[in-house]
Amino acid sequence: MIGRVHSALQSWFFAPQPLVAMACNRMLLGSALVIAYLIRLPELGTLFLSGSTAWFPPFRTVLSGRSDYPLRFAVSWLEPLSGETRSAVLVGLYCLLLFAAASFALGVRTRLSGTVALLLHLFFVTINPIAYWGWSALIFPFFLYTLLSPSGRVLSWDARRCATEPEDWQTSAWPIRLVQIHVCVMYFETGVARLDDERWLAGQMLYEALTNTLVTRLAIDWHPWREVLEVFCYGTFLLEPLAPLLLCIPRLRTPAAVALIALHIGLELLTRVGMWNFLMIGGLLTFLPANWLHRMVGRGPGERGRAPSLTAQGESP
Amino acid sequence: MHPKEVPSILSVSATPPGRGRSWFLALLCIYSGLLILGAWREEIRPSAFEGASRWAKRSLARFGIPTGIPVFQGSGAGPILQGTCVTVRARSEQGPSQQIAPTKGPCPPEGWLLMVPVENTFLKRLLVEITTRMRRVERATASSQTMTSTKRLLKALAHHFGRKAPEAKEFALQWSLHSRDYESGDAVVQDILFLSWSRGKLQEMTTHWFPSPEQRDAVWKEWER
Repeated sequence: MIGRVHSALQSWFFAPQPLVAMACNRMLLGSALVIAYLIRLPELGTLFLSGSTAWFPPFRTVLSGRSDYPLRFAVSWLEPLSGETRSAVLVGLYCLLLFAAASFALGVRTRLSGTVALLLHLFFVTINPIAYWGWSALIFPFFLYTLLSPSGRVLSWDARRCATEPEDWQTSAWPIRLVQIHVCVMYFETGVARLDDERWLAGQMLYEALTNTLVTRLAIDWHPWREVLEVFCYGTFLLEPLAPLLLCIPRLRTPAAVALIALHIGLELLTRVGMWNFLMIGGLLTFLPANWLHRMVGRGPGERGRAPSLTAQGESP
Repeated sequence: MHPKEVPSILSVSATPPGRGRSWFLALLCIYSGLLILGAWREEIRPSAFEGASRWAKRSLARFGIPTGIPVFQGSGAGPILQGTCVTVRARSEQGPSQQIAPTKGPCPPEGWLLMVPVENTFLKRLLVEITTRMRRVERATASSQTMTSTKRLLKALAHHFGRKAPEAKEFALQWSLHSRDYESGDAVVQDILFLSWSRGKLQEMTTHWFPSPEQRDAVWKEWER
């Protein structure tokens, strides 16, 4: 019995799986970081640099010894620097972060650029954790899984550099499995947390979000659409807690992933919630059939290289 | 690993061979288990199921099946009130926040307060109060996205009140920190929403809050001034 479980787990975690979803995820996560930090560029001084008279309060909080910022030690070396020097260093690191994130998205020296981008992101989160919405923490595991996978092997500048080599479109499954488990856990947490939320129970949450100018992209009168929004609200209310189950059932996996991606695209078009939707869409790509993704990116293993089995990526071989 | 994917400072994507593979599998299982257990411990709590049960009973009640739970019939005053200029959810130590605004009629549910612009001077006072409190958390709560929203909020408020709001320039509002940073004696302003204009909804609500036609006329004149 134990042997069978062991062998099933081995197969689930280590069998070859198509790499294309992780490559797409790499492009999405790198782009998300670039967009997030470009958006903050006009407010760089307020958010991350020292003010004229006082250093940024959260930074002081970090330095005063609060233990809930994992990298607080990593920013303490900035404190003795003078204001101008510190600003110059931070601007330099900010530019480096943008460059590294863009390089990761494009697959230029993928692992090096990804590692630099991730560490610098954590660095800026440590300086001012409230300059972000909650996505700044969620991106860490997804980024790490993608970084650990050989996502730069295809659809990347690294792959183009060695055009004479056969492309290997397969990888050991475990980074994909970790993404899949994390996506399911996220939906479980968010879905179950809503079960006792009055706004969700009353079908008002979507309407409430869209009429809140802190969140909505469209400042229009949503009142005439209230009943339609209620339907979508209840749809989301059911879909998200059920997602972990649906994504585990082979027959329902693809439609569930498509529905969830559509949900996130809709949310991204209508609301401003940071990079959450990018991250979740990236994770959901790992549940789609690989041949869909090959068609989407216009590249596949047929051109040069070994052919992967084009099964849905969540399926055990 | 691709031969020219260099530099590869993390070459762990290749499956480790032999005994290393078993240890690595154990590590993956432990990590996955901790993820799942963490989510389970975080979110599975009795109140979640109580909420679902309450929802089911309420749904039954809507179809006329008695469940012992009263069904609230909406009267135009819910948690979100479209068409008002500002709604402020306030909590007072004395209970529902009757003290802040000159509302009439029953207090809306869930502590939401409908600000009907009976007196613009009152709303101006409220605006100043809000901006003063926001200034206190300026910088400490700065966020590029919320800052933009807040500027827009204040600009729109200023437009409605027909006055300039120089304070609107540099404000930052981190709404998730409201409950902590907006403490002020008798009331806590938890959330500020600027809601899009909807004359029809406002009419509906003013009918509810101001039953007499004379009162409504006065409200409308004041609003449109």
